[in-house]
Amino acid sequence: MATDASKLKLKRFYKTFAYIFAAMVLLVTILCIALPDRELSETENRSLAAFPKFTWERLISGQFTREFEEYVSDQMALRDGFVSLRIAYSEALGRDYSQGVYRGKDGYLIEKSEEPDGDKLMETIRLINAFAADYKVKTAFVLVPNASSVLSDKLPAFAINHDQTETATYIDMLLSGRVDFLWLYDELASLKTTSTQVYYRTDHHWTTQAAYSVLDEVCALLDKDSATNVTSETVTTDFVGSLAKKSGFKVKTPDAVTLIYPPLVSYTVTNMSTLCVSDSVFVRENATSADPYTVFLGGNASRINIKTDVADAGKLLVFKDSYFNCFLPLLLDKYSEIDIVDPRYYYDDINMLMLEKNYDQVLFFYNLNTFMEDGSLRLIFSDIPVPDPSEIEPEVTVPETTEAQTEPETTTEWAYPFETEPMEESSVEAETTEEETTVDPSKIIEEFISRYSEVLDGEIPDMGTEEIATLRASLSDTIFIGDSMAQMLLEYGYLDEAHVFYSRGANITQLGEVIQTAAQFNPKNVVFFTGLNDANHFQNGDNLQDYEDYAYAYLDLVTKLKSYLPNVKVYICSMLPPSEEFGATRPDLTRAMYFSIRLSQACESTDVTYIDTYWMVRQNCYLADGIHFNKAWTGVFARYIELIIQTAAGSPSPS
Amino acid sequence: MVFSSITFLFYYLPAVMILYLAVPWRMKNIILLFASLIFYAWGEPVYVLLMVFSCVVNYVWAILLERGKNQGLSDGLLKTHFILNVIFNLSILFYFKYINMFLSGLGLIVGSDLTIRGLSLPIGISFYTFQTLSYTADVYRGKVRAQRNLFDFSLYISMFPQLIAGPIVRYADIEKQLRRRRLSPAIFGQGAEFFITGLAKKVLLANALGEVFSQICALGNISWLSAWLGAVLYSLQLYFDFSGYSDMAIGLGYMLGFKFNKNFDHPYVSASITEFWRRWHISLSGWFREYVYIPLGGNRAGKSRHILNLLIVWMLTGLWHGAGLNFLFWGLYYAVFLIAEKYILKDYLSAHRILGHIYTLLVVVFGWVIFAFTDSGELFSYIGSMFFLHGFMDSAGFYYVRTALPTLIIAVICCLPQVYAVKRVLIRRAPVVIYVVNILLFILCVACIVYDSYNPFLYFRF
Repeated sequence: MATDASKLKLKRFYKTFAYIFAAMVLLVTILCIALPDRELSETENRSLAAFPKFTWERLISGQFTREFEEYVSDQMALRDGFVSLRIAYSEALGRDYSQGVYRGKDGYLIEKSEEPDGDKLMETIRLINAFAADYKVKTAFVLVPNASSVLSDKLPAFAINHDQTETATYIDMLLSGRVDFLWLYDELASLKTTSTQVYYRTDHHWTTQAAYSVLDEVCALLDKDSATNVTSETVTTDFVGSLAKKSGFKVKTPDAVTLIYPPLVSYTVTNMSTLCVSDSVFVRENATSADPYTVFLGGNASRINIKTDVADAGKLLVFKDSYFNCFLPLLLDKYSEIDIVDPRYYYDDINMLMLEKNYDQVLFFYNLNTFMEDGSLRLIFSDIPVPDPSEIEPEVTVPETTEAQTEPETTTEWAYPFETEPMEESSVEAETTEEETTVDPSKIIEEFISRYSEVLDGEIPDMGTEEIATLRASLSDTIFIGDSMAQMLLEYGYLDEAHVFYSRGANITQLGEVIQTAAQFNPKNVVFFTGLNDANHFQNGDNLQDYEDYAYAYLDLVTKLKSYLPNVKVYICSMLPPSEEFGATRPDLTRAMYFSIRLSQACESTDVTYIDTYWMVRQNCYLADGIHFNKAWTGVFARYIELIIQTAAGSPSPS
Repeated sequence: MVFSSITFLFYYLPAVMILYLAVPWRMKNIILLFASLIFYAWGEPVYVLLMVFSCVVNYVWAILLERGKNQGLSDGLLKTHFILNVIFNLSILFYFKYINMFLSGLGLIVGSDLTIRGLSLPIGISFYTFQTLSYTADVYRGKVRAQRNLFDFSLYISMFPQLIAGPIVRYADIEKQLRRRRLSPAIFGQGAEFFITGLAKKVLLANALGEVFSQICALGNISWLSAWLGAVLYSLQLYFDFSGYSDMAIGLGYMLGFKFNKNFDHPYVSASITEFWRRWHISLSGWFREYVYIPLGGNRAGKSRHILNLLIVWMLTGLWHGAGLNFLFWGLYYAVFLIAEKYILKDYLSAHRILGHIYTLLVVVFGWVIFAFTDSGELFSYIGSMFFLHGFMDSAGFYYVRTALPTLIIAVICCLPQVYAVKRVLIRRAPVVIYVVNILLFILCVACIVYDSYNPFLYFRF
């Protein structure tokens, strides 16, 4: 009897549970279907996956189901709520490390410092030493420790972390006597006994107050008088910085961002890549943007030039990372001219700049984490022999570029250092054999570029149906392969599905599958067009290695393609940069330029044609995501590729 | 498709369940078969054809085998017939799972790379091949009748709950259920409860433990403390991963009206290795006992033959887990302990349960280390760390002990059968508690699954 009753109870329990479970699952399902899809996630700072396109090929290749999984996770109902719940849960279980960030004491999020790579470090220092020796200019090096060492008492107990002072001592030892070195550990550590906050709680940067506190030491290093009359001004008190975003840890107290600057100096700031001119080193409206630290200098730029009204105070060149951005204002009344180069985004020849400007002082200003991780200093100093001053004309920075000649100088400084496609020998040969010798293909391309440069600067006319038909006809033997960049050609209707094969979000190695499908169509020409996924994918902490890996991954992909189609002619388009606005929040993506340079070099020794499309970049042609381009721009792009292919085939049509 | 995904939980499962419950009985098997094929094809759009091929061939083969038997073919001919079928099934498995291991070994001898590139392992092939083999073996031995309905047979092979990671269901156990089974809200609820338990084991425990283990592995030259902590974490991860998957499979089976046998029975409370293997992956050990060990003569053909049989069975068990030498060693490692227990340690162990328990855990945890590393360099370095080669303790070890401790304690508690006994009591006394716990567990699991696609800032795709 008792067992019967208890069995009945059990049965009732499970019956009720069946309904609870069904209701729970169905509720979420209905919410997922009913709630509208979101395009962007603000918490994650990225665009969310949209419903994937269905074709049988994509289904068979597994592409469709993969994208579907992405889509449903990205568009999951209450997604942000679930994410916060998971983070709260793992914090409750005592996890205090997420994505390279420790949740330290007193609300401090602290980036973990990794062990340095000794070989790379030695190479960087060697190049700095060589630089100082070659130019015999007064060179100083300020190295700022990171929160992980200055605030080591705020790290979680037993946290795994590398000792930065050891590395700094090693750097000091390696640097030659020509470089005056300053390691700011003691100065910053001594601030802990005062009320000054040294680092932001939520961001990897140091505070402006901390930067100000070391002004005396830095000035002593630079032989400058540190006496300064400064104004201080707090621009925001709800700064939630990069470490909070990266780790997802809850932020209890947001940070305040303060500007400290000498109020009486007047000066002109020129961003040398956008040629934007300003009378302030601050972009105050950024204080309320997604990344308030960009209030300083508007974020990182490849080169910024500042001319002050201080007479005869000398010219300073600074190689720096973003730690310098909040320190810079304090130097404004101490120099007549300051050039600020961020090697991560700088691609011009440093030697030219040195000869042109004749600086009185050079300053390296880095935080140790960035100095360890970043390979760009090695890239810009990498063994370019110092040219003889008599042989160069100072104005022409990039003598070989055709853009430099065809593009109006005012548009942009994207004039960049690699050769354009039409100069390639094979296309010239093809032309001379088949065409009447009257038309020089490189001329045609030059004309195209100069004409469309103007078009791109103004209002770009849409292509008519007839033009699209011509385009499709002349590209009938050509297939485009890539990620969402190639997809644009399809989405905007310039080409049809049989000519564009893409995998959204794919990096180069993941394109292998797409190739197999594309190869079945047996095209004569294959054009690769990929975007920033690889800049996102190749992040091993060593930029040079990343560029190298990328270029060779690309050539491997070509080899794979040729194993299916031995006679195919392969073209690879540049990896285009993100928009400046977006690039400011994602400096790693602005490496696109270097990826492209390395790729173009790698292509030189092969029969792959590298198509450079940097001349087409216009800020107003970007979509809101700062990655993709609008329809009109894509039309110009398609025409340009059409022209390149026709020229190579030996029949350039008068377009 | 995996169970712990948004697609499965909120799209596939409700769609299939609604359809399955809505159609009349005669349609249910067909619906379930097609749902299972979609489930498989979702991740393996091409290899689903291989599975369908295998179903059709074995379906016909078993019928022919039975017909031959009824027509009084000689034993020799029948045996040949059956052995050809075994060769057929095993050669598919061999090709996809072991050919590259074999060819790379051969390549070392000839001095060139012979491996076949781009050959990926079809998901679940080890599981469904073993199910097929159990079926034809049982037909050959006359234990079951050959299934005449191709759909029902294919459903047995490809049913989605157990398709990818078991349990290995024997045809004899499920034959009747294919024709007749019961569905009721109570059975469904029991299955749902089972499913949530399994999901929580997998998502909340196994994944969290595994994350710490892989961080420890990434350190290189780790201390004794870190190495043993890592080994314990990995042992728990494997248990919760695998038993969680089995629980989910069994739960889904219940929801569809099928009863699968228990696959794990609290293995970490065992007091001997023999007991451990009676409690760990029961369907696999059962399969090897039934179809390899006993046919080889088991323990009835003399001591030396018995030892040989054990060695063969455990070598195969090791290899079944993966195509790598470490799996082979791992299998033989267990053979050694099992033989020692049978002939030497048996009485001692049953007299000293606590010592037996400690011994078992040490052997098992060390065994999982062999299991974990397919690369021999990594394996020896890790084992070195476990034997003080890289220091006794370090700050990293303390750090991981400190941060993993809460998860570790919960995991250890969840290994004990008492927890489930308490749950059974609570179901009767305070069902609301169990409702709430299950709902919370489910929500937390979903949160963790969603978080996996959380790619902020630096790590995003577009």
